[in-house]
Amino acid sequence: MNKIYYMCKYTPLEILESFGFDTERLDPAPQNFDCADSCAHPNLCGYGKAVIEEVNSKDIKALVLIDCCDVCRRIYDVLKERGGMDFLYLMPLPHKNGPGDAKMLEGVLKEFVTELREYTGEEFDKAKLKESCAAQISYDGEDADDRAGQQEGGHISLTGAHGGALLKEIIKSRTDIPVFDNTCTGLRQVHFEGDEIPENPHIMYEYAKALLNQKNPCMRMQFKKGAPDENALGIICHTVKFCDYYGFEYRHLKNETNVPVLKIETDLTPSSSGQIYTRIDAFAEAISPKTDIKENEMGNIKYAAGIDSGSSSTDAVVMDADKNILGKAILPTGAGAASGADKALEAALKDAGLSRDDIDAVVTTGYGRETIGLSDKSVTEISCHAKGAHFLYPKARTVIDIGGQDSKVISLDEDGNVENFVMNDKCAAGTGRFLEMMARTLNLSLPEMSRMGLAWENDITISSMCTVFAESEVVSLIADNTSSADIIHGLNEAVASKTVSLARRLKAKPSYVMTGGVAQNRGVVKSLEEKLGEDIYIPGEAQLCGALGAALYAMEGRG
Amino acid sequence: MPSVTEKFGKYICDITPENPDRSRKLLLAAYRAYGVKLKLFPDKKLPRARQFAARYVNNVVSRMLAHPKEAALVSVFMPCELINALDIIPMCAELYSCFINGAQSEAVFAQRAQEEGIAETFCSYHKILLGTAYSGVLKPPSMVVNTSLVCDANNLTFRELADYYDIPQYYIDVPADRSRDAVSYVADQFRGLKIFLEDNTGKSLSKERLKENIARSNDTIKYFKKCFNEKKSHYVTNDVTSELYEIYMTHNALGTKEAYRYAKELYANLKAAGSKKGIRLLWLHTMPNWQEPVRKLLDANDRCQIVSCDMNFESLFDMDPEKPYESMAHRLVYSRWNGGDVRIEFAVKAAKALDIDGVVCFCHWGCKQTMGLSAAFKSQLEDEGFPTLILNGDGVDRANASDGQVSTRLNAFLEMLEGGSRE
Repeated sequence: MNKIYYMCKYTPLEILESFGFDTERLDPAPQNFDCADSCAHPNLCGYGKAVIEEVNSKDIKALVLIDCCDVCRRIYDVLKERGGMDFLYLMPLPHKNGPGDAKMLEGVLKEFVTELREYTGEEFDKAKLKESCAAQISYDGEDADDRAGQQEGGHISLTGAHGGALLKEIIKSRTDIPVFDNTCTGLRQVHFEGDEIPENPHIMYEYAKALLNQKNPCMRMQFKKGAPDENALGIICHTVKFCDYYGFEYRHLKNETNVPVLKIETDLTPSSSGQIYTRIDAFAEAISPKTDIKENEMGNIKYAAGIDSGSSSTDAVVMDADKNILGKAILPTGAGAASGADKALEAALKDAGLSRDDIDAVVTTGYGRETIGLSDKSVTEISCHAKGAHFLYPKARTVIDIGGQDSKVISLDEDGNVENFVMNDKCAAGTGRFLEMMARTLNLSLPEMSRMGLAWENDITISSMCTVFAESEVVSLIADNTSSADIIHGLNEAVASKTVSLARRLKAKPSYVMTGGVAQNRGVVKSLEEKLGEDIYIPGEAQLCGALGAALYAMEGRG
Repeated sequence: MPSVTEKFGKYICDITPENPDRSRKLLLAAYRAYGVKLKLFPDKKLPRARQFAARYVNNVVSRMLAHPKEAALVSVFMPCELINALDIIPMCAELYSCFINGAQSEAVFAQRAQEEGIAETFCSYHKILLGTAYSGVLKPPSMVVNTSLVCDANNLTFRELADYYDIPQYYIDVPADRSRDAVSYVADQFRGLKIFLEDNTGKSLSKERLKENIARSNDTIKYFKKCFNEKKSHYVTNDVTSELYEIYMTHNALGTKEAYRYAKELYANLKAAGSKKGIRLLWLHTMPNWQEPVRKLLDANDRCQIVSCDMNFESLFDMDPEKPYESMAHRLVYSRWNGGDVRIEFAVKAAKALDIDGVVCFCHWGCKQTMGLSAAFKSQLEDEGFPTLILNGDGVDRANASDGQVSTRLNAFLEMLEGGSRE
C-alpha cells in the first residue's frame, strides 16, 4: 500500500507524501503494445498505450491519473474496466489559472484527500502537508543551479510530449550534449507565492495555486507556455503518434525562434526510438560548432571512398584528390548491410581500377552506416546528400531526396552547409517503397511505371497516402478500367503533394536539386515541378549523391 | 468519369494555394447554388422537418462564409443561447469542415495544416478548419468561443485560431467531474461570457431576451425528448446527412426559432409516420456521410436506418429560464459525453429505450475520445445483447478511410444482424 504511481507533474505529490506514500513516476518503454491494443484501440497515443502496458506488466495496484488529455481519461476508463487495482483515481485539473480556477482545484484537492483517507484509513495531517510543500518536490533539473552547471558547453532543450529517460539518454549519447527536459511531464516546480507557505485554512487554496502556476505549463493549459529556450544550442520537439498537442508547439517553435528546431516522433518503444538516430545525428551535425577543416590539409589522402548503405540499394563512390569520380557502383543492399557495402565498394574499386589498399579514407552514410565496419567515421545521409548536391550543383539551396525508406527535404546555405531539414514520418507514405508497392499492384517494373506515368489523359485523384488504402484505391480503379497511365499519374501527384508539404514546412527556396532513386521517375519530378512552380535539377549522379557526399567528407579528412 | 462535384473539388484544390479568394468565392457560390436546389427540389423522400434542416444548415454555412465578421467561431458542444440572443452567427467548426468535405476539397486544407506542422493524426474536422484558415480561404471571424468539452482538439484549434487571427477568445472550462460545484464553476464562466460578448459586440443583452431564448431552448429540448420516445416505435425516413444536421440543431442552434421549428415538426412527422421497420442502428459518434457505401446502405433505406446518433441526445436536459447560466452549465457538466463510464451507461440505456438491433461505434480518425472507449462500448453493449461494430474511418477526410474496408465491415454487420434479427 505504500507505493503509489503517477504520470503527470500536476499530480499533488505533496498530499501523497503527507499520507506517507512512496511515489514513483511512470516512465514506460515497453517492447510492444500487445496488452494495450487488445483492451483499448491501436490509435491511442504511444504514451497512453505504454502506461497501460506498464500497469499490466508491473501489476501496479495504485495509480493517480490527471485529467490531462483524452488519452489519460481513456487510460482511466480502460484500467477501470479491466479492474484489479486497489486505488485508481482520475483527478480533474482546470485548464486555466485564475482565482476561480484555483478555487475549483482547491475543491478537487479536498475531494482527493477524502478519497485517500478512505483508502488508507489514515487521517490527513495538515502539518505534514506543509512539511512536504516546504521540501519542494521537484525534478528534471528544475533547480536553477543544476541547470546552470550544465550551461557552459550549451544544451539541448527537449520539449513536446513525454519522452522519458530512454529518449533523453538517446539524445545525450548521440549528441554528447546535456539535455534539459522541458516536455509535458518534465520540469516540475511547485513554488508558493513569495515562497511563503501559509497556515491553515489557506494552505489548500495556495497549494492549488502553486500547482497550477508551475513554470513550464504543458500545452493543455490555456495560458501561454513560456518563451522558447533561446539559450539552447537546439530544440528537439518530441511528438508521439496520435498525440494532438505537440504539433502545435512545433509550429510555434519553428515560427518564433531562431534556435534550430528538430521535430521527432516516436511511440516510446525502444525500436521506434532507434529509428530516430539519423534525425538526431544529423541535427547534432547541424548544431555543433563548425570546425574549420581545410580540405585534405595534410595532403595525405590520395584516394577516398564513400558508401551509402540504404534500405533498397548500397551505393559506393571512389574519388581522387582532385575530386574526380574514378569509380562508382549501385547494388541492391540485400540481406545484410555489411556484405552489401563490401560488394558495392569492391565494384566501385574495380570500376576505378584500384584496390582496397589504395584507399586512404572511407566515410559511410545511410541507414546501415554504423554497422558496415569499413570506416572509422560515419556521417548521416542528410549531411552527405547536402554535400553531394552542393558539389554537383553549387546553386542548390534545397535538396529533395526520395529514397526507398524515407523522403527528406534539406535546406542549404551557399557553402553547402545544412541549414535545416525535415523527414517524413516512419510510414512508407510518399517514399520509393510506396511507388514500388503500387508498381507491383499494377504489375509493372519501376522504369515502365516512370515511362507510362507521362502518358496520362485523365487527371484522377488518389485520396490516401496510406499504402494499404492507396492499394485498395488502385485495385478499385483497375476494376473500373481506368488506364494504368492515369492511375500512375494520380500516384505521382500524391507523392509530389506529400513531398511539397515537407518542403513548405521547411519554407524551402530555389534552386532545387533532386537526389535518390525516385529522381529517375520523370512523372514524379514533373508533378513536383508543377507544384513548386520551379524547375528541379536532376544531376546525372542523382542516385549516387549520398555516397558522393560521403566520399567528399572522406577526402576532407573527416574519414 | 469524375462527377461534377469531384471536378469542382479538384479545381478548388488546384487553385487554393495561389488564389484563396477565388476558392472562397467559388465555395460560397456552390453552397448558395445548393441552397437554391434544396429550396426548389428538396429531397422528397425525407420528412419535411429534415428538408427544412438541410435548407437551414446550408444557409448558416453560407452566411458564416459570406459574413465572418458577424460570426463567432464555436465548437459544436458550445451552448450558444447567449450568442444567438445577440444575433451573432455561431460558426460551428465541425459543421464547416463537413461542408468543405461536401465540396470534395478537403485534401488541400488537410495538407496545408500538415505543412504547418499539425499532426497527420489530428482530428480531421479541426485539421481541415485550420487548413482553411492558414490558406486564407476562411476569413477571420469576430471572435472565438469554445468549451473544453469534449475533446483535446478544442483546447488547441480554437486557441490557435484566436492567436493566428489575433481575435479575442473566450474559453469555458468544463471539469471532468459531475457535481454541483462544477456547475457553479461553469455557470460563473457563462456570466463572464455574457460580459465578453457585450464588450466585443458593443451590444447589450437584456435579461428578458436571454430568458426568452432559454425558454425557447427548453421548449425545443422538450420536443427533442418527445422525438426520442417516438423513434422507438416509428419509422420516418432518415439519411446520414440529416442525422448530422440534427447535431447542429440539438447543439449550437438551440435557442433559435429554427431549432424550435425543426424539433416540433420532426415530432409531428414521427407521430404521423408508420410503424418501425428494418434493422435499427444506434450510431455512436459522428458519421462519414461522404462515403458511398455508407450512404448506399443507410440513406432512405427500408432495410436499415440510423435511428439516432448518440450526439443527438447527450444533453437533452430541462432548462430553467430563471437560471440561464446554471441551465447551460448543467448541460455541459452533466453531458453524457463528459466521462467515459457515463457515456457507455447511457448508450446502453438508449439502445434499450430505442429498441435497437445493433450499434455502430464509429472511431473517427484521431478521436481518442471515442476510440479509447470502443473496446468498453463493445463489451458492455454486447453483454446487454446489442451486437456492436467498431468501425474505423474518418468523418470528413477521404485520405483516412477506405470505401472497400468500410463496405465489407458494414455489410457483414448488417448480414449478421439480419441473420439474428430479433423481429
